[in-house]
Amino acid sequence: MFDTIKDVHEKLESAGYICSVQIATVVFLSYKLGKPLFVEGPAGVGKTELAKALAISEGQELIRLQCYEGLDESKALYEWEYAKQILYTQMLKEKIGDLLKNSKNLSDGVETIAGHEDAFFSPRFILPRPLLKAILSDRPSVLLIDEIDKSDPEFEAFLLEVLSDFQVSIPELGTLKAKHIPLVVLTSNDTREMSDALKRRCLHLYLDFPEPALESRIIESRVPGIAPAAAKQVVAAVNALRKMDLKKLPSISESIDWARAMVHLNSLELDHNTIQSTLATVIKHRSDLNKALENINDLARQARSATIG
Amino acid sequence: MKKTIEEFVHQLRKPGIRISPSETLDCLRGLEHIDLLDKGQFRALLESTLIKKSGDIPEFHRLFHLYFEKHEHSGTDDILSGTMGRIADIFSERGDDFTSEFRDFMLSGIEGMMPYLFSLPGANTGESNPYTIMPAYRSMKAGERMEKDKWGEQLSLLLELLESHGEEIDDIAYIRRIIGERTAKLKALSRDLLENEKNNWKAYKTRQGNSRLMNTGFRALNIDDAEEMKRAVHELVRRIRDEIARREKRNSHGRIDIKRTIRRSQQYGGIPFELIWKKRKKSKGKIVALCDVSNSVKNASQFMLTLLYSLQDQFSKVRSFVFVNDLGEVTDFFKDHDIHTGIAMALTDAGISYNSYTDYGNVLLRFHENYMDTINSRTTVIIIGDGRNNYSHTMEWVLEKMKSRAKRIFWLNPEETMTWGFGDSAVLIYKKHCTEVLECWKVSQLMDFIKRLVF
Repeated sequence: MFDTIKDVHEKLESAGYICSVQIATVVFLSYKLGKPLFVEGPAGVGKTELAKALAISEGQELIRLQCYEGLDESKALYEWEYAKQILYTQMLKEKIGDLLKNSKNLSDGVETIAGHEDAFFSPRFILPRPLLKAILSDRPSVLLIDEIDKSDPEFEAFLLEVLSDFQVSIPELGTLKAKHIPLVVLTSNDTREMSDALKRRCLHLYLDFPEPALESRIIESRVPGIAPAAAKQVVAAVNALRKMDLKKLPSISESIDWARAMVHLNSLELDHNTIQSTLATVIKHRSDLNKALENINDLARQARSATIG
Repeated sequence: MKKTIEEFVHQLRKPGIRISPSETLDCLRGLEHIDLLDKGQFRALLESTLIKKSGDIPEFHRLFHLYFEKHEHSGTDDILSGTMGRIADIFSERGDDFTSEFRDFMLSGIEGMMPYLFSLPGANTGESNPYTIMPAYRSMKAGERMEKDKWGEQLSLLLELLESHGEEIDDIAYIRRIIGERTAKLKALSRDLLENEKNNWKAYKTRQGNSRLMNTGFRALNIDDAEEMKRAVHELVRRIRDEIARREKRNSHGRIDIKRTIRRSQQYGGIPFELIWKKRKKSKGKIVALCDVSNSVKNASQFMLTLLYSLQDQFSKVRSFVFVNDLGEVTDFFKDHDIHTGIAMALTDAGISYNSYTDYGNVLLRFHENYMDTINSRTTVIIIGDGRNNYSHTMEWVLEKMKSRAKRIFWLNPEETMTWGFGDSAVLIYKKHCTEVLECWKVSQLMDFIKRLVF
């Protein structure tokens, strides 16, 4: 899949994901050491995007498991499809007579039916959920376990088992082993501390807000038609906002939105008026908005100096 | 390289970062996949395999810089590396003339010296007292000594031998200079390591200190401690909140929802394969809190306010008041501001005179006049204060009336039990009209109370 770290860089870039040395190295190691990637960081720095880009760059299927409170095995791994089983039973009812024609007594009949049990507990009636899908997949895939911190501790323990062996045992069918070990990416917003056991099995990647130069490049690649100078100004203004004491700090996705807003408004410069009319794209709380508006002159100055210097 | 990484891991563990052997192993396994000369890649390898908590990242960066960046030696130097083979030859011929440290230093440079510095006599074995500062001190002294006595002789000898092996005079002078530089760096390094040990020692003390703080009276805490404690209280409340959430979830379902179960069973031909449970409604209580902020209990009330602030979202409604001789509501300060500003405002801007004498009687009267309707049968009233009333009217009938309307009334007293009722303390009079009066002069008692309150 990947041959060198540089290869990771290029492939991700071709998938529209511009990354730092750190990201490329950790992704490469995760692939080489066969360990899941545990990505942490503030919302909107591109944790989920990284997994998507990995799948795109390799032309693989992205299997996504979105975690939430109360997520359990039947929603994550597999479920028997009761409705289908019942439907089949209904349709086969008449056939039962033929089947039991030769049975002499009741217990003999039960034996005969027991011999056909397999028919109803076969892969045909299993509804695979993301984890089983990743295990059964014929081609290598990328398994994204999104917002793992939202799940319950019990689910975490269960996940641990799946991630260490990449096999599941279904009582009626036996053990299913993965044909290809998928590249696993777990993301977390750190609302809950994950267990040490899980973290130990993963490579940890903390994604922070990127360096200004990298962020400008990201904006330029994601927002076609933006002038490099304008991208720089957005980055400078966003970085100034990040230094303020805000409830929700703007992240990369917000900078991209801001840059898009500038393109749509045909503004080439992030001056006082432009900031005022577009600030709502980056700031998501009313109290934050007020705070930012108080410092609007400072923001405009920061933006301007980015292109001069 | 292996030894250096093991040593680095050892150093990371000292300030309390937990790294398991399997993680160290991952790191070593990763070495072959990266370009060792690329510092970015090298750092990414170490960080991703060894550091699993984002809170540990700054410490990692600090140590990484100290270990692998700050003292990086001038790298591959043509003349020196050309001579390297000959130096190695000399060592193998006349090995006994040189100490092993000197050989290591010559052959592998400063990074090769790291393990040595830590293996000096009395060096830290990591068991009995992992934070002692002495080994590092010794290694620093040793670093200085090495250069002073034997080190110099050995160096001269080596250079002489090199000359007799046909090395150019100019080159020898050059090599002497480079080695001089390196030795100076080594000294600087051992000094940094000493500094680092000191930091570890401090971190260790702080960790010890936290449990000490839990049992120190509010009054005895100084400003630094107080800040630390406020953070600790906030953190503990967060943990308790997680615990509550988990418990609630476990018992979240009530009875079977017959209607929805039957509807769902239609798709299975009327067989109720899936049971649907009714969700039990969360019963969040209401809280009315009155907090004495007069000078005598100021330290304690700061904590109480932190507590009230952190607990706001655990209850359907929290009304907070502060008082001295008059009562002021601070609910909105808490709602609209972050924890620091909110508490600071409660201690200065509630519209009461903060430097007057405490008058519980007047405060209760005021509450009776204006806020009795905040109390109903689901309300828990918390009064925080020492009950020192400066001998004025106690007006305990108000408290009795509050008690008859509220679910319960807790009084937290930041004085120790034995002083209750002495002097102007009216707390024993009020005690008759409360559900319970609790002694609360240290953080551990406060935490016990929170648990009682929320479960």
